[in-house]
Amino acid sequence: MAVASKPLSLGKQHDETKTRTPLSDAWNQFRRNRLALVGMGFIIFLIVIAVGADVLQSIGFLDNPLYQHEAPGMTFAPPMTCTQDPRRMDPQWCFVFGTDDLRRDMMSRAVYGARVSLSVGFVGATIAMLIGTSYGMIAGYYGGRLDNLMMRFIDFLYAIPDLALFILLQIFFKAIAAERERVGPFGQALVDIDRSMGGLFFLFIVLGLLSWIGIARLARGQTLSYKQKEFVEAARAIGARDRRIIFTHLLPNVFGPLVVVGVQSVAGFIGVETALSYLGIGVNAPTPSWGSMIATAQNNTFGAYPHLVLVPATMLTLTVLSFYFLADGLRDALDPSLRGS
Amino acid sequence: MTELITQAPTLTKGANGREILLSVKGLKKHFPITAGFILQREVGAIKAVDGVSFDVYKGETLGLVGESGCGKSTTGRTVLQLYRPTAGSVIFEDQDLVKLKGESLRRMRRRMQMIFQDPYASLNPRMSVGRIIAEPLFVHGIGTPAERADRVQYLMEKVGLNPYFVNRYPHEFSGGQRQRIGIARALALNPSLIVADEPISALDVSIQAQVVNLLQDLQRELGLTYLFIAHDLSMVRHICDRVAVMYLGKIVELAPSDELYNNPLHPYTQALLSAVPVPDPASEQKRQRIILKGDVPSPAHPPVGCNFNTRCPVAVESCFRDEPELKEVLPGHFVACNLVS
Repeated sequence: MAVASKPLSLGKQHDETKTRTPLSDAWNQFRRNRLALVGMGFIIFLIVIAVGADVLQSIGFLDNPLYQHEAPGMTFAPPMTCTQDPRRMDPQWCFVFGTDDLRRDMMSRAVYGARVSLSVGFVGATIAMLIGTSYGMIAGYYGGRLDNLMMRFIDFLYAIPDLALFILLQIFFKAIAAERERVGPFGQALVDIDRSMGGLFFLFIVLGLLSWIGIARLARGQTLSYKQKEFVEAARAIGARDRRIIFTHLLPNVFGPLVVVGVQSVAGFIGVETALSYLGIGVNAPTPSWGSMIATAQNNTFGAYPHLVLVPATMLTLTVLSFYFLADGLRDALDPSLRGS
Repeated sequence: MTELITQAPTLTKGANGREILLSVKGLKKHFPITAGFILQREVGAIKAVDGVSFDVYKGETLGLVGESGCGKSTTGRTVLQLYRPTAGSVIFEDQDLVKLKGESLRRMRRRMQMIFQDPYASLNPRMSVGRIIAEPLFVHGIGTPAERADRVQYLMEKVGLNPYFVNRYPHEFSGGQRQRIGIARALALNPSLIVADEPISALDVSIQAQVVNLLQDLQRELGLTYLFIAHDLSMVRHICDRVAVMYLGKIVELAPSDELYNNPLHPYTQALLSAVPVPDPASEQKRQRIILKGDVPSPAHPPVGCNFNTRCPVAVESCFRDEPELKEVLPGHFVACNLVS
């Protein structure tokens, strides 16, 4: 009896002020993965230069990505070429990564291309996470016939070949944009939004359409497994309402693996955007994108001018790899059950 | 903390003059077995609990024992309406919980709580100890944040935890300490009934005694009533005033502890008790084990007549035809056997 009535004095010898929250644990684990840190560093760097591209341009580090230089012989100029452009206030300009077929600065185009890639990646992943998590958790939590119906719908969507659908939809939207006068006020509004975003808006819609199904399946599976846990039953025994159980007990536990897949999917969306732009049905023509830069290289004998393909391809590879490394580190950090494997 | 209910309503008195806190009558819980792809049909039912009746008097501990799969945990959960029963009534503090729904049931949850078997699964890993213990108060909107913090401190001291650890997370505690957290959470709302679902079977033997003593101390101080589900027969004898033995979804025998252990009348109880080692070498030598043959039949297809007839060493012809009723054969001693009268 005495054992029970006096507080256990365990832990006096430990540092009592320091608590290990699940988040601080995750960070400590993440820190140990060097590749993930490098990946995160590169992504942060990319975000900074993409967001600050206009600032970099105003202080003279970057050129306007659409500006076609007038100096003679500057088509396909190799990296580290300098030129004088008589039309400019400050005629001296050096092309660190060379120029393309229209004598535009490749480095500036690569940096502005990062804007397109990152926004497509992040917006796509956000849409996928939002729809996928809600859809999957509702199906998993309420179960029964609703779950059955919702999952059969997902099976149906899974059967659609996605790249073919993306291409088809993009061609459809391009056609709508070309026929702006004939699509009614709502269509016109959409086309105007899309034009002001350089063709990104329709891309978001197309990618968002199917992007969430993988995450929805994962969210449902996670919800099903956590729903059985005794702490969820305990919450119900306490008298917690469904909303509280979903948001306080299920979501924080389900979230880890979803974030990992979400980060991985960013790389996937960047890849799809590049593919569509490469095929000429991604962002609108003058907007710089890594995919359209690779297409330019292919149309202009890149054997003679390797920088045409090397610059966008290197950026793409580094970015995609960084997201995968980051996701890998997050998986080890957020999902303790996978630790050490 | 004026919102905490401290006074139980007046209760109906039983035949022996004691107040009945919980009265379970003809409780059934059948889980449907479904088949079919989109339109699921019911093809059968697992009769996990199949007509269970018992009373629990205020301030006592009623033990519920039986082997795995006999429906004792399901009974506990069905009493608390964590599973809605298929049939029967659960009268708790003079209200039929089976008839209550939504908000009125939620309000009754303040009066009945549960302690879970697995201390590793019953606490949300993403919540600090303080939030876990305060959650019942929060869910029912009781007290101000400061009052809740006071109550958490009081409860932690009450269950023998150092209140200093209020901001720690469950993974920083041992199994026994976690079980104490679970007990503190169950006590937060000042309930009158606690269903303890094998609260000690996942703990080390050395910790089991501590937790059992804690539960007994709390019962004495706070006037708690326990429905104690267990399979450890010697522990049940120690803690319980009365014991109900379950087999295949039915109660086969119910009697005061000493009476049951000294004078078991049902063949199943006799077999069960013969398996308990006696801590006395002389009588342990003479102990005759009754070895039951075969396995427990499937609860989806219980045998006709007495449930126990497939394994009963003394079954006669009528046992395969007539279903025995739970009858009071001695004062306070109930048995469901055709051969005992």
